[in-house]
Amino acid sequence: MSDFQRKLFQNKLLKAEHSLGFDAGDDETEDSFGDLTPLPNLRNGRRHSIEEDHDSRVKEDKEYVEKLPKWTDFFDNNDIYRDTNSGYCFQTYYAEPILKERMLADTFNNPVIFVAHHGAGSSGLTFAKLAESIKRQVGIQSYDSTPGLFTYDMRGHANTMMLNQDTGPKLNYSVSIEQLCKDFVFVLTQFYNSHFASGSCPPSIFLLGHSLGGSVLTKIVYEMQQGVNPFPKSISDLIKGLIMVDIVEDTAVSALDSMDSYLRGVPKQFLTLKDAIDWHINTGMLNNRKSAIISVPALVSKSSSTSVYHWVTDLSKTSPYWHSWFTGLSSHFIHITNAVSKMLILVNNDYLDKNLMIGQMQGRYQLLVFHNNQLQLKNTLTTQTQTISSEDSDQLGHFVHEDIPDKVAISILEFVERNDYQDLFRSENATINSKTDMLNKLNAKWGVGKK
Amino acid sequence: MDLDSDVQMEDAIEQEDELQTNVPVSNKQESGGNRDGDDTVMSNNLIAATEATDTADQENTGVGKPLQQVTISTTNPKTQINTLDGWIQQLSQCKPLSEESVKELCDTAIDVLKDEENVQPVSVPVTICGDIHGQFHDLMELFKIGGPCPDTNYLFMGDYVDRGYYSVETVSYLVAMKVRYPKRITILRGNHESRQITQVYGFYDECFRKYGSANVWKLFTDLFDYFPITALVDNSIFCLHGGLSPMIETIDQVRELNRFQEVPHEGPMCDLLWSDPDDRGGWGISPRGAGFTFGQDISEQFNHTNGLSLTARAHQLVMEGYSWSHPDLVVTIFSAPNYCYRCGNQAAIMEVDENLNRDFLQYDPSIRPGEPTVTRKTPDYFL
Repeated sequence: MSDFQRKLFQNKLLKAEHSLGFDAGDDETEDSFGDLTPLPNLRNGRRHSIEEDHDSRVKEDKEYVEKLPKWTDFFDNNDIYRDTNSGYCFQTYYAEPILKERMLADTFNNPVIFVAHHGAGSSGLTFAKLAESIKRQVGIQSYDSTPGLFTYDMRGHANTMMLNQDTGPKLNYSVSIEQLCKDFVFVLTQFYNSHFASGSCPPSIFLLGHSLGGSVLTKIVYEMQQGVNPFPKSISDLIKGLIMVDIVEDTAVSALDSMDSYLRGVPKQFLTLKDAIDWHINTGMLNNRKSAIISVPALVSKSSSTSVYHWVTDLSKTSPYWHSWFTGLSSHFIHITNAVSKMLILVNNDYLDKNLMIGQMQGRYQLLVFHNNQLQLKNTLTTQTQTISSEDSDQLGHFVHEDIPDKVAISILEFVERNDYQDLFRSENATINSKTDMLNKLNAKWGVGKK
Repeated sequence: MDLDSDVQMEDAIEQEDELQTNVPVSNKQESGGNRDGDDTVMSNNLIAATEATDTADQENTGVGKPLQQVTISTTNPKTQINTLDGWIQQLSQCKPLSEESVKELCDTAIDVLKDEENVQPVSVPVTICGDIHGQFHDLMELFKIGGPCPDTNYLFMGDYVDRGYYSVETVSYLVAMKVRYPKRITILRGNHESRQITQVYGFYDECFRKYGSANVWKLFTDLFDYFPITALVDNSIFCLHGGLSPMIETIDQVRELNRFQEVPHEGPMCDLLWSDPDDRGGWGISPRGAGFTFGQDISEQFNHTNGLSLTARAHQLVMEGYSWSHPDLVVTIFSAPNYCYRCGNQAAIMEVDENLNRDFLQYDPSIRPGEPTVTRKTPDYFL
């Protein structure tokens, strides 16, 4: 909280400097309004009338919004999936995989699809930059095919919330972990039926969950392996990997204690969309403006009467579920068998709780820690990575896939390449067609085989 | 320089008392002039003498004065031993050396380690140890359980740094012991003895915290490049940190590797430091993201080809401190009890006697004044 307050204070200071005619000297922070009390505009040394202020603000906001990127810049389609039982609708986003022509004829090569679940208070568009970075890094790293990325706005969030304002207002805050798992099962099944039901080219699915999303996906995979399979086998067999992003059970649970006071300190409204974006940057919630301009607009909605922006989701209404969201997470994650490869991506610390620590020290999953330190950032990347895109921020926070989408993309592509032996590889490794091929050759050389 | 003088092991209680008053690094005493070139009289019992008397002998041994002023004499082995004994004495109290002393220590250690082999021969009897990970007090406990070095010969299989709170003291101590008793102690390289890994898992930060710069981290990580990567005990027990590599069918192939480099991301040297045995046969992709998994069929073949009775390795936490695989061709030894102060595991070391009989000694965490309370920042936002 102190960090947040300090940032808030800095914003006020910045604003005061502006009003006194000081130039902050930083285009990024100029015009940043972290605090939302509508203050008279003093910039030109005279007071505007409130009406003038309102009109020019609305005009500026409109111009600003028009220049922002759209979901179409990152995804190919945005189908709405409607659950016929409850009538509840989900906003989905899908960046389609790209298979090279010669691979289409090769029955061994199937598309890789990342299926991503965002955390509480976020939206599917939190993965927009990651989807873009995956495509870019596939090119830079010479992979033979481009994995797709499918995601959706979870219950009570972003466009899913907006879609259900009338049809399911009560359902929007029914966000128990069980319900969230059911939602995921519904959405993934629907996705599979829409795109792959013909069965000609079944995808390899890698689940990617940020924060609460990681908890939802871990629970599903764990129960799936425990024989409580919510999916038809045709789908569960396709799930090859699970990537959790910045979530550790103990850390999450201990942080929950301060969530109430944190939420009380969050502004209730923003005068302009730029204010909302600036707030996320200035508080350090997000560290990459290029990502914030696509992810933040989904989180707020503009009031038609006052033209100010309010949060789409009132997170405090989800508080009854907070503790149940993470209970058992680490144990479940550790006990998921090798049939599903696992990776945990953490930010700025490697504090693992007991279960995760034992599991890591027994080699049961891959741990990747990104550090704020510039030196560390550079060196966390593997040797195969020569080119690092400038899209990444040099600061890291909880939304690591937004802050450094290129580094995260490189990491998850390598994770897939390593663990899904057949479906993703680099054309430069022409002598070895896939990891399976490599293992077969090694075992043949040793005269042994998998038993 | 291989002396059989005893290493003075601290009395545990006395040590704990001293720990309470941990002193910051370097320049803590301004007394004592420049002792360079002091030609002191060697004693097999220098440290005990130091404790019995006071300042007069302290000056001779280098204990308790600004250690950066004591230079290891390359021409005078007696002075060198005095300095080393002083360092070891200081480190045994969990007090880190000054940066200047670390530099001298590492320079001297390079001279010792660069001539060791990729497959360093080790004779029996020897006590074989696994991961330590900066748990300094447990390392002291280990020497109590296994017997003091150099009375007991030791073989450590890597991972001295990261995760625990005293990586600096732990690795300094082991390297100082290595330089002091090069024939009595063998220190192999683990996957954590690497520039990249230590930047993430604590050693880099600890060096920065304790010395105010990354210099000491650089000195040690440069030194790590010289650590041998495997050892062969009495031509019978192959010891290494991780496990086997599909590129390595014979021990001679290990001898051909160029080990003087950062641990690579793939290839035989990486595998030797990263691989794990597995219940599944053949070679497999390691869930760790580096190295391979190898089945019993691989271990059978490797041990047979190379005339080995056993492959001993560390790298994996095992709750009893040691664990057999394949079914008795591979043993895992883990020597950090209650790993990272939260895992609740026992630790173990393996004694191998003159007749190659093996005996495991298990131990629990040492009694100590308590780890420094690490105030872990909980994130503002975590949903």
